[in-house]
This record gives sequence, C-alpha cells and structure tokens, in this order.
Amino acid sequence: MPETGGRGRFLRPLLGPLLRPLLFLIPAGFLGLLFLYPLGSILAVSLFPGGDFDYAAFADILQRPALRGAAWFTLWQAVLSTLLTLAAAMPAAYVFARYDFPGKSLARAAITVPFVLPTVVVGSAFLALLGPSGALPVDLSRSIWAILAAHVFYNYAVVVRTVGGLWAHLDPRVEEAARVLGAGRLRTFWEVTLPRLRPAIAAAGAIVFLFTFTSFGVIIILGGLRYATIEVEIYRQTVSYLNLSVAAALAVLQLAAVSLILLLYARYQERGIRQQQLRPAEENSRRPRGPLEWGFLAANLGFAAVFLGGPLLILIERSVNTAEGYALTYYRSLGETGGTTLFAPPGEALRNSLLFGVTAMLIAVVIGVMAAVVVSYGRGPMARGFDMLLMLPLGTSAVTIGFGFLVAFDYPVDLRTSPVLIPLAHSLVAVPFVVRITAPVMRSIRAPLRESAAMLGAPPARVWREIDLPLITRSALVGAAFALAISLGEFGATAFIVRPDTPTLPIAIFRLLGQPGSLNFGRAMAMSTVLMVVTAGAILLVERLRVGNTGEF
Amino acid sequence: MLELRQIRLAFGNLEVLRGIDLTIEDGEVLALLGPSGSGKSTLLRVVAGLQRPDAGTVLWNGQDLTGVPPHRRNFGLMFQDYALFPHRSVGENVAFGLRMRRMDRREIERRVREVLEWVGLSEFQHRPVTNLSGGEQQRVALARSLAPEPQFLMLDEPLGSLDRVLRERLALELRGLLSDPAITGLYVTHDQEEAFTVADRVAIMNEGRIVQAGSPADLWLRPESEWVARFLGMRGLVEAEVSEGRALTPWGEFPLPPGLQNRPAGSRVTLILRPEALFLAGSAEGPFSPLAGRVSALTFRDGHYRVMVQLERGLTLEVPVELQPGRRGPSDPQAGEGAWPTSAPPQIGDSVRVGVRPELVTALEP
Repeated sequence: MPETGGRGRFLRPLLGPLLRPLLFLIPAGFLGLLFLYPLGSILAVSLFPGGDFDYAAFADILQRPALRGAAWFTLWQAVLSTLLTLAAAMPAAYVFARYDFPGKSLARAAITVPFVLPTVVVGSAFLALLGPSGALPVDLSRSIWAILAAHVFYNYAVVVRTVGGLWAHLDPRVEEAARVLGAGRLRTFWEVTLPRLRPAIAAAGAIVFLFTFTSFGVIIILGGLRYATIEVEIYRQTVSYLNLSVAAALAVLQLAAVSLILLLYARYQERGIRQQQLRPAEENSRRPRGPLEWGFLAANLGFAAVFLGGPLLILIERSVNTAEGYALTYYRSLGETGGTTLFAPPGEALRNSLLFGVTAMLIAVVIGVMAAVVVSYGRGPMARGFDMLLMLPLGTSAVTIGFGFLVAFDYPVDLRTSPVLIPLAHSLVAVPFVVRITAPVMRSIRAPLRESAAMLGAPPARVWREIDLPLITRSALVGAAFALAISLGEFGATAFIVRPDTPTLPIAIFRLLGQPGSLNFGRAMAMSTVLMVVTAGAILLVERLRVGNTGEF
Repeated sequence: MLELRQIRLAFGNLEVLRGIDLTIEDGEVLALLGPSGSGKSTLLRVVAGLQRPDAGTVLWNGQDLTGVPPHRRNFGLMFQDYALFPHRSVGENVAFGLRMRRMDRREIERRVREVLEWVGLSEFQHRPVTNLSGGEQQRVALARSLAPEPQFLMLDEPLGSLDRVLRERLALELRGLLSDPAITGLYVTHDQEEAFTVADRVAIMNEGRIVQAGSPADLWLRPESEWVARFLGMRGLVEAEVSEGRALTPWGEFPLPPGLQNRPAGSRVTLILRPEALFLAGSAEGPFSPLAGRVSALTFRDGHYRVMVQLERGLTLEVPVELQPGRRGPSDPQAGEGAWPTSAPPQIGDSVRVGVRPELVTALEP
C-alpha cells in the first residue's frame, strides 16, 4: 500500500512558511561558518601562505626528516595499536557473545567506561601507572609501550561491543555443523567463524585505526619529545614555531589520509555485503561448561579488570598519595596558583569547563535537533545531502577543527582571543552525535502512530504535542548528556583556541603535567579524577535515560 | 449506517479504487476480504478520512463526511501492528481518546477500568505497552479504539502479524467482543477464515472493485464468478452440458443438481464439485457412469483421507474418504460389493471412479 500520511505534512501546521526555511538555514549556516569555512581557510593557508600560490609548505614536509618521521610514526603506531586492540579484545568479544554469567550486563557497562573517558584522563592514568613518579618501578612514559597500552585501553570496548555485537547474533549451529563435518576447533574458527565476523572486525578495525591515527592527547602526554603524530606536529608547528603554513599543509595531508581511509573502508564494506542469518542473542549464549570454559571466562574478565580498572584505580590512588601519606592535599590546593606558572588557579578550570559545557550542550542540542528534523522529516536528495554534510565533522580530527578556528576567525573580527570560540568548537564536535541520536527516533515515529492519535480525536497540533514531542524529548536529553560529556573532555580543538586565563579541565590538567614538582603532578591526578567522575556521571545519566532502544549509539 | 457511493482513487496511473459502492447497516460487522493490493486497506483509509478520494462520497447516517478530518469523525481504527503509543502505559493508551474528548478525569479513570476489564486486562493498567505479548497488545489496541465509544469501528488486518493458532483463537474472541454490544464496523483482512469467523457479511475485493458481497454461507454456496470461487479455495470447477436430468462432462456423467432441472437441454454450465459432494464409487453407479481418473496423491488429515484424483487433461478433484473402523482391505470378503473398503484407501496410480452427490453441487451463477 502506498504510504500517504507523509511525514512532512505534520510540520506544516506547526511552523509558518517563514519559519520553516530557518529549520534548514540555521544548522546549514552553523556548519558552513564553523566547519566548511575553517577547512577552506586551512587550505588557503597551506597553498597561499603569503597571498600567492606557493607549495613550499608541502615540499617542506617531504624534505624535513622530523615531519616525514611524524607521518610514518602516525601510520605504524596506528596499525600496531589496531592489531593489538583486536588481539586483546577478540577473546572478550567471544566471551560476551557466547557465555551467560552473573553480572554480565554490569561487566559490559564497566568495560565501556574507558572509551568515554577524556583522552587527557587516559594519558594521566597511564602516567600515574608508568610515569617517573608512577606506581610501577620502571619509567615507560616516554616509550612506545605506554602509547600502545593507552590506545588498547581506550579502544578495547570498541572491539568488544562491535565484534561481540555481531558475534552474539551469529547462529552457533553453523560452527557445530562444521565440526560435525570434520573440521577441528582452529580450522572451524579460521574458515567459518572469522569470515562471518569479517564485517564487524573491519568496522571495529576502521574505527580504532581512525581514532589512533588522529590520536593527540594520549601522544602529547605520553610521547614526550620523541614521539609525535601528525596531530601533535600540527600543534607544535602552530604553538611553538608559529609556522602556520606547514601546520596547514599537515592538516590537509591528514584530512586527505582520513578521507582515503574512510573511502577504502566504504568500498570494502560495500563489496563484501552478504546476507547473514541473525538470531536473537539470547538463543546463542549459554552458561560456560567445565573448568576450561569457566577458566577462559575468568581469564578474560580478569584481564579486563586489571588492564582497564588498574590504571584508573592508580590514578585515584596517586591523587591522594602525598608525601605525608594519604590526604586530600592535592584537591585542596586546586584553588591556588602557588608553585606553578599558571595564570589561573586550576580549580577555576572546573567552573570554566561547566560553563563552556552547558553552553556547548545547549547550542549542540538546538542545532542538532533542528538538523535532525530536517534530515528525518524532509525528503529528497537535499535532505540526504544534508545528512552527509552533518556527519563530516565526525571524520575530522579535533586538532584540525581547532586549528581551522585559529586560522579562520582572525578576520574581519579577531575572535581568537574570545572565549566564545570554545563552546562553539565543542558544539561542532557534538552536533553529529546529537543528530545521530535523535534522528532515528524521529524516523521511527511511524505514520500509524500519528494516524491512531488522529482517529482518537487529536487535531494535528495535538498529535505533535502528544506523540512526537515526548518521544523526541527523551532522545534529545540523551544527546544533551553526550554533548556535555564531549565538551567536558574535549582537548584537541580546545588546545588551539584556549586563552591562558580561561583554561578548561583537560587544558589545566595538561598544563599541570608540564609543571615541575610532585605537588603539580598530584594536582593533575586530582583534577583528572574529578574530570573522570564528572564525565562518567554524565554518561551514566545517558544509560539511565536509555531504557528503550533509542538512537544508534 | 455507513454508505459508500462511487468511491474512486488513483495514485498516479494506478487506479486503486474503481467505483466502490457499499453499505454497512447499524450493528453489522462487514469484512472486506481480498488479496494484497486489491485496495481494501486504501478503502479503509478513505472511510477513516486519512485518505481523500478523487471522487465519490462517504455518508454516515446520510450525512456527507467529505471534508470532515479524521479527528472529528468519531470513528475508531485499529491498525495492523496496533500502533500503541510506546511512551505511555496500557491505561494511558486507553485513556488517550477520552482525554481528547475533554472528559472529566474521574470519568476517564472509570471508563479505562471498565474497558480494560471488558478485554480482560484489568491487571495491566499501569504496565508499559512495550513488553506485552501479541495477543495482549491486540486487546489493548481494541480497548483503546473502543474506549471513546466510536460510532463506527475499523480494523485493518488486526490479526495479520500473529501465528496461525493464536489467530484462530483471537478471531473467535474478537467475534465475541464485537457482537456484545453489537458494534458497527469494517474489518479488513486477506484471510478467508478470519473474515468468515468475525463478520456478519463479507465483501470480496479485487483490483479496486467489490466483486461480490454476502453472508459467508452465501459466498461459499453461490460464488458469482470463477475468480471468487478460486479465491475462496474451490478447485473442482467443471464445465458440463445439461442433458435430460444429467450433467455430461468429458470424464463421465452424474445426476443434474436439483437447482438446474429447468435448464434447457444442451446449455452449458460451470459446476462446483466441492470435496463434500464427492465420493469414491464402484465401476457403475446406477444408470450413470461416474467420472474416471487416477489417484495422484493421498494425504491424511483431520480424521479422513484426502484422495486427489486427476481426471484426464488436467483437472484434479479432492475426494474425502472417511475412516471406517472394522472394515479391512479390498481382500476382505465382508466388504460390500462394488464399494471401496475405506479403511484402506486406494494407492497412488490406481484407476478410480468419482461419484457425485448432486444435491451438494452448485453452479457458478454469473
């Protein structure tokens, strides 16, 4: 039957002909001004540094070993981090997909915690563990091992949830059929299970690769002077050497590389699309049987507990471990600037962060919900194109966004010294998330729901208020909590546009880590703990709100 | 009383409704039965006011409803997958229509409880609707659409997404709920059994037209066209020639059905040989030579054998053979002369003759 209760129709009585275009124009203007314009400025700075065409910056990158090295390091550490993460997390993906055990949903939530933590907190936690004044006797903080460990820590949950998510729905009887036909355990895994998991492994691998390829906070904290990714190099060229054209050229290369990766990934997934029989997850999992299976389960959960829980516990421990024994000295001293060369007491950063966070959250929700309305109620190629445009900031690194702001907003009004750029940058990062969370809910409101309300006597405006609004509100709240968490932890973009006297929490932590003395190290640990608790709180709120299946995250 | 007059509707070049005339009397439930794509759901949407027809009028008690929006028609509609409001509890779903009518809060509370009790869901008032079983959801949807006491109720494939066993049970249950108190309604379905169970009268729809309407027994006994007969599952359609008290077919002959006695000799007629009119006969049945064919398949179901007899050139008849305990195979000397001992059915490939009980044979009446 043709669907005739068109979605768009329900907006008509609510918004006049003058207001409706604004629904599209405001988010479009937001993206144009805050995303496309800065990207254009980066391109301009890289190719027309002095106003005339000059590709010297690109030539520079090829000729200078330090820059070539950064590009090479970016690539190989990302490949290695991805492989290590897959290796570490695949057994856990199996455990969560196939076994039922007490506390499973709690365990699943717990392993997701590191993924939502700000990069600065992750950096601090590994510094607390492996650094010069860390819990372990060896100082590994300037080594590749610290970086790799932090990357695996950070992305473990991506693999467990993505691969395990598909695995849980794959019918285990297919493996049993292979065994009956004479294939051994290993052979079955290699020839039956692995090919079926391929789309999820590719997806998880691509995400982890992108995250580690654009890694900034972890590297700048743990890598010291020896290890620098392209991201870190963009930052150094900008902040230390004021070499904007080289930084811009690096950003262009980085953007090209990321686009290429995304393109290859899309081609790969498209080519490999295969219909698979999926079964409800509950039917595919069971209690472990025998000491071997229980042992395997315990080993994986134990590894996750130590590897994921360890650094975070050490972080908290270091924040109260003072020269005079356990005390809250570091927390108390967050209000002072003594012993540092900072312009503002670190405690003020919490206030700034909350202020920026709430502002960014409001902007992101307003713009995001407007954009979601356009992409989910609108029809035709324009709505689809807009949908894609909205997702672009997701594939762009935070450093590129921050750098773009820096080079774009100096003319006609120099906004670079204004704190207003910070919540704007944060909301730009958060808008795609808000759209991704709210649009599916709006799309899922099917015509029969509205038609039922109409048949029961609700006029069109009442239908909107009784059906659409309550359903959208909850997902918008989820989006808001996400936006707040993103803003609180944002580091890469903020590093470029922050002013010395209005630092955010991650910036203050980063600066404290660069200051000498155990007091400052302790303060950094204390602030990281505060940031961890605040972020985890926001995410917990999200989990509480998401009772049903809303959104795509 | 609902009257439809010459309803027409086209989506682009596709004519979905081609001049529908239909009347539903007060207290009557009419089932709209047809294959998918026949336009039955679209017709329901026209009656509901969710779809405006290109031409024609919908009259309620003589009043033209064209231009009356759905929320002012006071009609109830139950969707195929119920369309329960996921963000509201069972009770709140049921109360929705009452709130829209600005009913007093206490009155709403009373009515909700009354309706939930009527569908047997009193305990469910405060539960979320998201984890109800299919049958429970269906009853909530029914309660919701009936709570505001609509003057007319429409049901769009309300059992479509349920499994067969549940469907049969719920169809009976619906029949009970809809007849006391007697509700005027329109029931859309593609399932013949469901339509015959729930409705007082059935209108069969095909390609945007109503091809026949009548009581279930009427439709079964007197299908007006070959299409209707086949849609209702009748397979034994036989062309016969009328000849002095006999019906002549290429495969044999049988007594002329009583209703056709006055047909002139030599006229042609299409007869419906339903399973209940057929039996396996001996070599000759009185003065008639029964239809000859071969057994092509044999199944057992519901206490009797179903013998598929293929007559020459295609036509296959279904012949029931009852179980008769105590009588053994063909070698049994006790078996009656010339009759098949029915506890042991014929084998596939056997040549058999099919006898016809003329009083159970009807003709297609165009």
